[in-house]
Amino acid sequence: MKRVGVVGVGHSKFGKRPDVSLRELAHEAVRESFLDAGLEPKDIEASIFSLAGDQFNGQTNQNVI
Amino acid sequence: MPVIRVESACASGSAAIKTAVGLINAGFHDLMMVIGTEKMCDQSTPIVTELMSRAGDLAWEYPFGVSFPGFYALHASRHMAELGTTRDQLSMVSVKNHKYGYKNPLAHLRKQITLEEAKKSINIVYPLNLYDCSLISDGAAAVILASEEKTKQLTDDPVWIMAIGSGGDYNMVADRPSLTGLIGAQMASRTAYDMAGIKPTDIDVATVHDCFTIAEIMAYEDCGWCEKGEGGKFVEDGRSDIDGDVAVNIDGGLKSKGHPVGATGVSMGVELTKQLRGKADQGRQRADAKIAMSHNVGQSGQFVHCIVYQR
Repeated sequence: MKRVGVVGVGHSKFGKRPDVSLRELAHEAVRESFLDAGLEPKDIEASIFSLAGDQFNGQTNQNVI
Repeated sequence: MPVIRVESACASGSAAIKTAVGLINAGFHDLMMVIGTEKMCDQSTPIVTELMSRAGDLAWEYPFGVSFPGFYALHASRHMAELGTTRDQLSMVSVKNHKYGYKNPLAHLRKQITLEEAKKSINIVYPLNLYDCSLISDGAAAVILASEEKTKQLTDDPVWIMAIGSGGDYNMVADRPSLTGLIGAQMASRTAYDMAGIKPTDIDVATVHDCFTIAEIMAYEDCGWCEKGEGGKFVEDGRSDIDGDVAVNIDGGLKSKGHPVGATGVSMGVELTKQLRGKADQGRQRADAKIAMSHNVGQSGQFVHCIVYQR
């Protein structure tokens, strides 16, 4: 395969997080990755959303950016 | 913005990264974000355990009460019976991972434990104790990926995804010829090494899918860092510690950092990028890390991806 660059990374605090919704939790990681890369939401062309269990809190999919 | 959702149980995050890499290399996009997230603590532990066990076969596994601790207890029992792995060696994985999770401010359970505490923790499913099991967590991780040309425009010093190897296995554990390793992980790691043109010994730092301590011991063997049956000795001799042959799970792993399933594969990519940039937290940076690999297992070995990162 042709190599692909990792140009920004972000990570929320892991743990029991009753203080945030799923969307807010994702936002913590997304925001940090933008700051790390020096990019803005409009720069991103498309996103892939990884969520394993609809059943854990009912949310099935969302566009976080 | 276009969004695609990817789901492959506990390997969803790595499947999502692979999907993005494929789309970028197919020319669909030059700059993409992969977001992994899961919020599991809204439910009680028995409910989460029950929901996750539905990944097992609904006719022949789930109705008989086989949960994930049950699947990995089968692996641990066979590894101990056939290869001589000891109960203490299982606990040594847990002690190591908690040692580094304690140094990771983003980890779920930041607590150092002793070998005695790990050994004496309550039994969950023989031979696995509480401290052999990973955590049910809330969490999220994100990576921004770019084509080679776009990457060069954005930064002078990127981390590269060099290779992705994947593997699978029979859906039902009872159909598999052996329980002492994961065929999917052997397939995934070999493919990744071949694609990157490297050897197992070239990996400086790795994140492996330690959903249970036995899973990390099997990963050492499946990824070719030691021979079959030497996995227990590998951790006992410190060869997977921060200054060992390969530094494994020095972010705390699923055991201490936590395991919000959809986020885990992406979290592995974030951690390895930090390690390769030399920007991991104090006390948990692998010295001079140049090549890294993640090993992410979904279901009970049906979905496996190994991703090679290089600076």
